[in-house]
Amino acid sequence: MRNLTRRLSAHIAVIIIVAIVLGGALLGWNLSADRQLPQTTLRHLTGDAEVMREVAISGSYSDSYLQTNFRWTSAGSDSSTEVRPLPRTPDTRHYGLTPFYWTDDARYMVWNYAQEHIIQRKDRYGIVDRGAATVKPTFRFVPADPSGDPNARSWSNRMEMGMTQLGESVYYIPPTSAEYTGANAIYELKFVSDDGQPPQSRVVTEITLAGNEPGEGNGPTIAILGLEAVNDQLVLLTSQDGVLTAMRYDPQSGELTGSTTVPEIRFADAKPSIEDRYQMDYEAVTDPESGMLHLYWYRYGPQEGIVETAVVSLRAGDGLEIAALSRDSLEEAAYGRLYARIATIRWLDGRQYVVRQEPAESGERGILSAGGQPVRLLIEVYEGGSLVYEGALETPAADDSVRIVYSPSPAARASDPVHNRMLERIDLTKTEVGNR
Amino acid sequence: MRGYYKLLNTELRAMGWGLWALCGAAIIVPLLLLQLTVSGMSVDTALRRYEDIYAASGSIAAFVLLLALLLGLFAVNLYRNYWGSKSIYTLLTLPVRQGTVYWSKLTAYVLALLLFLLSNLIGARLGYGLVQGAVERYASEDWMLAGGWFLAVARSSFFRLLLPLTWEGVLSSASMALALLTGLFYGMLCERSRRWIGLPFVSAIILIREFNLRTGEPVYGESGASLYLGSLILLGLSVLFMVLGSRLVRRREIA
Repeated sequence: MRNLTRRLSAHIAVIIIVAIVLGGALLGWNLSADRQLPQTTLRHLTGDAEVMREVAISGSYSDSYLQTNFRWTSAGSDSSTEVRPLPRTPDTRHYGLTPFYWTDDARYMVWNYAQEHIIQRKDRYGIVDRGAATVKPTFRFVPADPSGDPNARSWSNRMEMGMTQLGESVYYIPPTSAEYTGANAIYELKFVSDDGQPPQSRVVTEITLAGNEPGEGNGPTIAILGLEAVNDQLVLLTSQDGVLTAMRYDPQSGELTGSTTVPEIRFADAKPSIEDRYQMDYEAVTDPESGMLHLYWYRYGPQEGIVETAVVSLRAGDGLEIAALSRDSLEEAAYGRLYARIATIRWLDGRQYVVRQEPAESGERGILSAGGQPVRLLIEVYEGGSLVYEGALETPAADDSVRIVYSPSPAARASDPVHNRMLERIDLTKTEVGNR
Repeated sequence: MRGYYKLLNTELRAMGWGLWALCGAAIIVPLLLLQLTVSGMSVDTALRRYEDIYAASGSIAAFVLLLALLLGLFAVNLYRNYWGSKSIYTLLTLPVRQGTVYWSKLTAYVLALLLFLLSNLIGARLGYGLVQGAVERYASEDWMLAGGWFLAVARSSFFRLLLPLTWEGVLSSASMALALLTGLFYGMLCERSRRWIGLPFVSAIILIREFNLRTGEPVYGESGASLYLGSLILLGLSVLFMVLGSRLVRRREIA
């Protein structure tokens, strides 16, 4: 025994090196196995799961320390994780309901003064100033109530809903309500001047608000709801006589290249007035693969506690036409907060695929939000105007709180975006044949 | 080479019991501290991240203390050659290449440090299993600790130092460890040869800067490249310490 001990101690360096290598390998293997977790799955809730057979769901979980990209198909799911060399301040783009319009490399904020609107541009973190564009609208506010303040302002939606990016340019139209007269316009904003003079934004096209003048025979009343972009064209969303009307414009010439009316979507200024009117606040998703613009609307149903939703898909081919209109109703408690619910909407094989979040019951399987309030990510498939499938995207929740897409629920506002992962960049695509 | 190998084994044997005791403590002490922490757990405190529990248990403080003891062991290993029989004279007159004494000692310190760090990581990993078992008593079906060990290593600044998951982190941690060892060794050799020992203090300043960068709050924008500069400087200083230190030994100025 003493002989053995003496021999071993004569080679203690080798023993230590072997121990270090083996111990390091074991730790590395264990860590590598852990790195593959969690796996994202889709739990079928109702309907025909066949509609998901050729669909791939992708997205990412990220915080200051790492980003995990996942991809789910009916054949299984996989993921890859990238660890950051140093913790990096997270992209706060979608945190909370903010007065900003975001693009990939900038954020914009509208300062709407009585005589002019100033659109301030900064980098995505709001630190580096990158110029300001000024537009001077010529419309005039005429309050519906004669005793109202003529110096007040009335917008149909948040200012940033009047902004959209197309290529390298940013376009803007103030979202005036039906109480404005005169003329509105779509502007191509210019933030930096080439000649030392104040930058001049270009008027793409004027939108007459004559129909809002008091009296009959002036044309339809018009409220500007928002501005979107698809297929290199601008799409202006309006409420004309209280009915959703979409108009397509060429961004260079300002020519009207298409329009369509969606009579099922009516608003408060409809004539005659209606009880069940949709809220003007909408969510829009551009689907470049299919060349479509998807719009998501909601209204309070006739029954108390019921919210009715509508998904409108507009095809922007030669003109503008309605590809599909699907409606559903939900309990208001299940609907959750009434903004920033949609992760994405896609058009695949003639169906509308809607990914949205909603509160889940405590104790239910799902994804947790911060503060312990559970939410889950639903995938709803509509075909021919009807809901044909509903599923829930799930992950075996890791020991953190995963916040859902784009902005937190009110209860989750206290969550820490630095240390809590956010589930984002969700997309649905068709799987390739033989590569599911 | 044979002389180097024999000297290396001699140096490691000399640190023998002290090294094993410290490595054993590096595994056991965090487990004891974590056990104390989870025994006081309730449903309100159970759902915390492992890296937070690890830090709150005092395990990081224990690591710092044990690391200080390990560095003290290195110092004792060198200064012991000047006590009692003054074996330093024997060492410097051995029939081996003169630099061998320096490199065998430095290699022994490196291996000892690696073994110590590995022991700490093993203790942390075992602690994760211990904590997970305790937390599962309070976890519900929709709140499971999946992938928690990997996430703890990725998010904890302490674990990122010991077990970096990126190449930038590996280079940074390695350069910090090498600068610490070579700087300490060179400082002791300077003391023995009665030379100015200001240079290790420069290394210490850069080490602290690098440490703050690695353990700081998230920063704006890309910052992985900033690690390379600090790592290169520390590696350069380490090389300088090795050159100067081996020269002191070769010239027998430490006798």
